Amino acid sequence: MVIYTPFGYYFLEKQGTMYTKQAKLSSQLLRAAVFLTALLFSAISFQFADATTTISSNIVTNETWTTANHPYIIQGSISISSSTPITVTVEPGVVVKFSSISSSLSVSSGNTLDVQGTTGSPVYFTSYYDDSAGGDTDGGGASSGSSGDWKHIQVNSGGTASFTNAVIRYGGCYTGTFGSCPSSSSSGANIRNNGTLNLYNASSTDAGVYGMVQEAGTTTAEYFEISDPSGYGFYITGGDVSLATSSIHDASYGLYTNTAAGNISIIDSTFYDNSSGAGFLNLGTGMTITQTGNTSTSGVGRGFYASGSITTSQTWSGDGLPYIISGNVTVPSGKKLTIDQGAIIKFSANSATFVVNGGGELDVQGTAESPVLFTSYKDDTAGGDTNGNGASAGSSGDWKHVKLDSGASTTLAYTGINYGGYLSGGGSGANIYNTGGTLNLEGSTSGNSYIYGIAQTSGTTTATGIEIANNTGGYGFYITGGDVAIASSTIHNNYTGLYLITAGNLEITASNIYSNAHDGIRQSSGTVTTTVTDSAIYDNGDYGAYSSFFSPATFIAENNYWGAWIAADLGKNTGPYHATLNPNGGGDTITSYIDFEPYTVAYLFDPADSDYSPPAVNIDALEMKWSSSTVYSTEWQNGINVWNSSTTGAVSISYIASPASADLLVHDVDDPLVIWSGLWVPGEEPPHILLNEDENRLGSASTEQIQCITTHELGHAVGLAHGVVDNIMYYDCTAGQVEPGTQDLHDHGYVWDNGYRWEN
Amino acid sequence: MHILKKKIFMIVGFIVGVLTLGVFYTLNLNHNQSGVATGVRGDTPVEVIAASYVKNYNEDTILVGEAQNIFVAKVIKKTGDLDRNKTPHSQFEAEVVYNIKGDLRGVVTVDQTGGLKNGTLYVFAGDELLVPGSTYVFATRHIEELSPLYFIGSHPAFKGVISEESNLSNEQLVELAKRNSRILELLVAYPNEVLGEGDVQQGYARNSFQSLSDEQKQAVYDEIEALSKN
Repeated sequence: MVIYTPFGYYFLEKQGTMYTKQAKLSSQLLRAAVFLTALLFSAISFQFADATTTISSNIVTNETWTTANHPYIIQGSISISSSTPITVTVEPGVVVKFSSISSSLSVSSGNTLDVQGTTGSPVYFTSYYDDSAGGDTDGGGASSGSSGDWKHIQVNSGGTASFTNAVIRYGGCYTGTFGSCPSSSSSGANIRNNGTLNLYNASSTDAGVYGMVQEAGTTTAEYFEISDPSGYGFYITGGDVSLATSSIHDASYGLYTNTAAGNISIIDSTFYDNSSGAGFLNLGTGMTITQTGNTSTSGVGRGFYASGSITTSQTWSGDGLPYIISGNVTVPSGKKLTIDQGAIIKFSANSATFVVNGGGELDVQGTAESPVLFTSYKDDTAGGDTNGNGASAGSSGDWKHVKLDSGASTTLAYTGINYGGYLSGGGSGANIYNTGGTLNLEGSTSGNSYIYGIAQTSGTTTATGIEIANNTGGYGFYITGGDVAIASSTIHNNYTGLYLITAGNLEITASNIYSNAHDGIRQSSGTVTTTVTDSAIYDNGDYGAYSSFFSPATFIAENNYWGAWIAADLGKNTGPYHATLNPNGGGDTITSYIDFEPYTVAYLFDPADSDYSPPAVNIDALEMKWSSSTVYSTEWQNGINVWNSSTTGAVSISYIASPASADLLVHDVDDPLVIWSGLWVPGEEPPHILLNEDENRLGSASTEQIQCITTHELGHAVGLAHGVVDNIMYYDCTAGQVEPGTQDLHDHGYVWDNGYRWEN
Repeated sequence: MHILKKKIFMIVGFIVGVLTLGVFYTLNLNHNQSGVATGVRGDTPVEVIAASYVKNYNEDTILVGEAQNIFVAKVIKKTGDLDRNKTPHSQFEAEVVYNIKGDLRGVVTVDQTGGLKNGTLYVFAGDELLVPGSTYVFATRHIEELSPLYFIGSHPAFKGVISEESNLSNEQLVELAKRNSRILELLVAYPNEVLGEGDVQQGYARNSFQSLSDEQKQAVYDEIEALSKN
């Protein structure tokens, strides 16, 4: 557009609904010439602007609407209607006005409305009273249009309408809103589509109720703007809609689907200042939703609300606005919902639930780089300030759970689930609640629940690389039935890490279970079995492993690390602490009836630290030379034979005459004031072993006890710490064990297998 | 002349310093290579000593039978470091506030296996040196003719913390002790103690329950009954 003034002229360029000044020619001479020319052309234009055309009957032949004959005044309900296809073409710059609340323009089956505005000369469909387009058409002096001044442009089934660079405004007269509107065929929308509708760089603003309504057919829109309706921006009750690089703002819901909505695609579009939300998706209509690259920067509900049971298998794409769930979303039998990486699912009510029915399938395909998140509406860390209330954070119990009914199938790959577990109204207290389905978890997290990170009453769960943390109100994983297999996972900072009770089988491998306030793993009454192997269980508040049973265990916990390498526990073994079975264990406490032997290693020294090394061993030769003498020479030599004969042994113990050249010295003492029978004293040059001959010690001990003591002390010399009951390295030789136990061999093998571990 | 002497003195001092550092570094390097250090607590190297036994001291009757004196005492201060059996020991003065076995009064010197030797701390696994100001229950070996010291057994069951509060009165400490379940356990074990045969043979069994008068035995039973009501 060009604006002429006595001081020059400006090129104006439209940006949205605004014009901006682009350039000004400053030459005085040029300004004068242009101004005179402009006056001449303006006068001519004014004469042409008076050439209004009134359309008061149906259009039955091809027509072209031009600026020479505009504005066109639509009186009553006008239809482009012909049994032979016709087209009404609207040229750039044309203004079409609707004279009353009864005025509408419809395109009947087989016919076409082709609106050909340009960026510089858009076409207007507006109110009779809208002086800003086409001047004072009604002749009533200055006036402006209002919402609902006219009915709508309607595309009937089989009809086609294309709007390029068009502005449609002030329509949408609707009986429910404006009592005087005709009750029949009022849509409340500027455009009502049942046919084929194409929109490019068009806008629909200030409608009575809806910016647009689609009851059937298809809409394809690009660079389309909907703003300021009193209700929904785009109300879809049927058909398919494709919206790209468009915007909907200042509506209630930007977009709302209902009844029989079909496939909805929203790409790279913007939603803002909508009072209820960017969109509401009634999933039970048969609809599908594809949305990527969308943004919503202001207003409440900055996402697409989703509700109902899906009736068509579909994929929810990531990289779009969050999906907001205020009620139930259900994946029923025979249907599959796939959720792509990067998607964010937020729950806006305590009762909000995600349910997978038996025979239904939920497949969440997050990745390590782009996980899928299920979280609270209030959680600004995921998808920003979705509820538009300023900074807020989620809290436990903000929503119910993701529930698997019996026979359901759910895969959660790299999915973060937080702040669920609302308990009332049938809630489980868990973020994920498996009541008989098949649950596969990979790289996923579950935390900050009201009670349980995951709860399972039956069914199966297979988990790899998951993290269950910060479920401080209860248990990380609560199992009352079914099978659970967890591998390479981390369970920490819950009240109790895992709790198995009533029924079920729990298998854990290669996982870390630590810093849970109460117990790491707790097994209680019922028909339950727990197996945890090759894992690290440490720094749990009360028990690393707890069993309430009083008979031989169904709790197998072998080859685990239980924690010990802290300064205060220096030298304790890495086994669990048990007051009688392993009182020198430096790790987490365990109860009886847990099969914890062997644990990882019981060595005195940390092989990961090159400053530590086993005492009494010549590093270069992998041999230990002992010297001096003892009255218990037979038992001493037998002890040497025990360690030398170990099939995994790489260190050899042998005698050397010269104490000065020895790696180890043995001495007898007779001291009634100490209670030990054998004593290992490292640190001297060389280290030494003391054997107490006192009558209360070895002096009255059995041969087996003496043998146990000598072999035990030599075990220290080759690098082992105190071990478990029924092993040589248990510090109490009352039972007189003379053969290495399982833990002894395990530890010795760990330290010496594959050669010397401290070499650096 | 005076300035020249000062320069010579500085140069010699520098050379001596460098040589000292070099020797120290070499020794220290050798020490590390010998690989006998087992850890560091703060700046102090730590060696972990380890004992083995032919008696099950998790049984309180055996533990009580093994000890000549069992008492609650507040540690006052560390008084010495002595080697025994090539092993460092530490001595502490402690004020006895309550007796379980034996009848000690006032301040005694207890001996703890472990301590500092040549800059290295020797301790049993998981053990700490006694802390002055803290109050413990000690089960000790004490044979007066062999040593005036009260030797705390190296097994962890021979020592337990009653209080780490240094400002409590003796009366308050006694009350705390009487509410401590460990005290009651030891008292209960006393009448059923298992004396070491070697001690009996060598005459080292002291303060045994069977050696008490009927009145003293009744006093033990009365105390057990009183503490059982706590």
